[in-house]
Amino acid sequence: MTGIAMFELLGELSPEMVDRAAEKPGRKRNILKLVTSLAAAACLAAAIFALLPRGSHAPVPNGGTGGGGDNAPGWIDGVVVETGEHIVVEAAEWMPWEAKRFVLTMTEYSPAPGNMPEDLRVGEGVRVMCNINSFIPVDSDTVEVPVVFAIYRHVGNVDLLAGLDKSELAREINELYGAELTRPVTSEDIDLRRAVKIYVDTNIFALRSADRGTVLEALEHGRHVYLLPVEAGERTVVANIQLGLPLNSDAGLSEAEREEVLAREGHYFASSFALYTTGREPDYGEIIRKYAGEPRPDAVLVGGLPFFRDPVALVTFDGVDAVIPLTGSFDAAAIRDLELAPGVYDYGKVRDYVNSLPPQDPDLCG
Amino acid sequence: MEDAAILELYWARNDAALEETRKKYGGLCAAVASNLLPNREDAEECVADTYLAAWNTIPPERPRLLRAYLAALTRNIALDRLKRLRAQKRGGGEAELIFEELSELLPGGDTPAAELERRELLRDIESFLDKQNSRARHIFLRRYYYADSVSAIARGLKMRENTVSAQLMRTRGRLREYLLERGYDI
Repeated sequence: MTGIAMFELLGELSPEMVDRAAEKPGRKRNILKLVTSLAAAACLAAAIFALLPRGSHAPVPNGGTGGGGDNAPGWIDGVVVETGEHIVVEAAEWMPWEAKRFVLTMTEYSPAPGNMPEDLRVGEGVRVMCNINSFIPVDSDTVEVPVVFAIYRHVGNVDLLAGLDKSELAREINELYGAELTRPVTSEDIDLRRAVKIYVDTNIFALRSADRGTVLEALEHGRHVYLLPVEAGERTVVANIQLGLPLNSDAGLSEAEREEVLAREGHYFASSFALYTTGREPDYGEIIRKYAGEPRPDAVLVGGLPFFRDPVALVTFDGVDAVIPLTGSFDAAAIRDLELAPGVYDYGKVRDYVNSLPPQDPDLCG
Repeated sequence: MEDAAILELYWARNDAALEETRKKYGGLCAAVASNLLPNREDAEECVADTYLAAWNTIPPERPRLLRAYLAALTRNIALDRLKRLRAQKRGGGEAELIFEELSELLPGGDTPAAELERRELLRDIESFLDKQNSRARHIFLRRYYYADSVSAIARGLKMRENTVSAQLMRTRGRLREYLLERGYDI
């Protein structure tokens, strides 16, 4: 029997067993070490929802909470859309209710002095730590947040990849894949010019504007990763390189985890690796060339968008802002009418379509 | 729309069944197809073939679990297509990694096991999975049934990719032990 035969055999598992993949496994508390579980957060949000006036919708921040009572710390990840007397943040994602605009009431104590960047600008990606029990619904879209503990700026897009520790990266690759490589990887094998930048964690579809400039600005202020192929003979290891984020003091980390986070803050490190037979690793440049008809050095790659499970490329195609999915992991038939050319879609129309969709199961897309 | 209502549309030979299937499970089918097939055109054709296969098989079939049924159809169609591509040396992608990972669990050398042995092996694997905790089972099925990438699984569970890989390795190790205990020659 070969690997493919075993895979084929697993295809005969009973439907009941297969359907169990849809079961959401419970999170181990000692992994995230949140003060309360996500289930507790959901219960809390449901309780808030029950208390809200008619027609209102309770937002659920994208994170854990500090338990019940008057003080329930949580967070909202999003993009600043207004500054001034109030700061307005549009949530990067929201679930499962509909509020997406969060108006942060700025007072002497909210956020606590020194707990927000002084020069916060429109378009910046932020994490807002707040008391979710304090939320006041304004309308079905908007919630006022009177108690803000802190606003953290997502680490900006300062290009420090050159500061990557190549010898450490080579050591990690050899440690992980030593047995499968025909020879050890050295620093000389690591060519930073091959790195592909992918913006992540900024839901650009949630921005008010589909204008390319606005989108790019929002991306620039959000997070990004690099995919860096490192070739070693017949095998290529693709390292996922990311920038260490600032320590979130409310994350409830152990001392060792805090030290690890602090050591990585502001430095690039490899967060994961994938092994390919050389020549079979994803070649996004080639995929873009295939659909756009020519190499597109202006293409901007974005991952983690709703509807598209894998990264997409943003390009200007015949003068129209366009999106090129880089794999087939999306429902192509649903947006067939939005194609500008085979495999190239009108960005504005795709954005409108995706925003019209109900929230989906992020795991199984079913 | 509820699955039962979609199935009624199939049984009534109402082609709205296909649109409702696409709306509800289009993402799932596309994900399974693209996980297995190395390029987008093949994945899109595979999804279209899945809808056609569903239309042609329901009725007479009345699947108990429509999601699992469609996933199985997509998986089988994608696998057939992948075999043809591999024969033309055009395979590759995530599927090759998955096959490589599964190659450590292969009883009986290179010869396809007899049908009876296959059934028994399948039953044993199912019994093993039944005994696993929900996290280990979820990760195993997403990787080796839905052919999901490690990074997609990690994203879904908000885990590090290395943790997912380690979990998969442990589950494969336990499965190997389990099968060895049952007399399989691995």
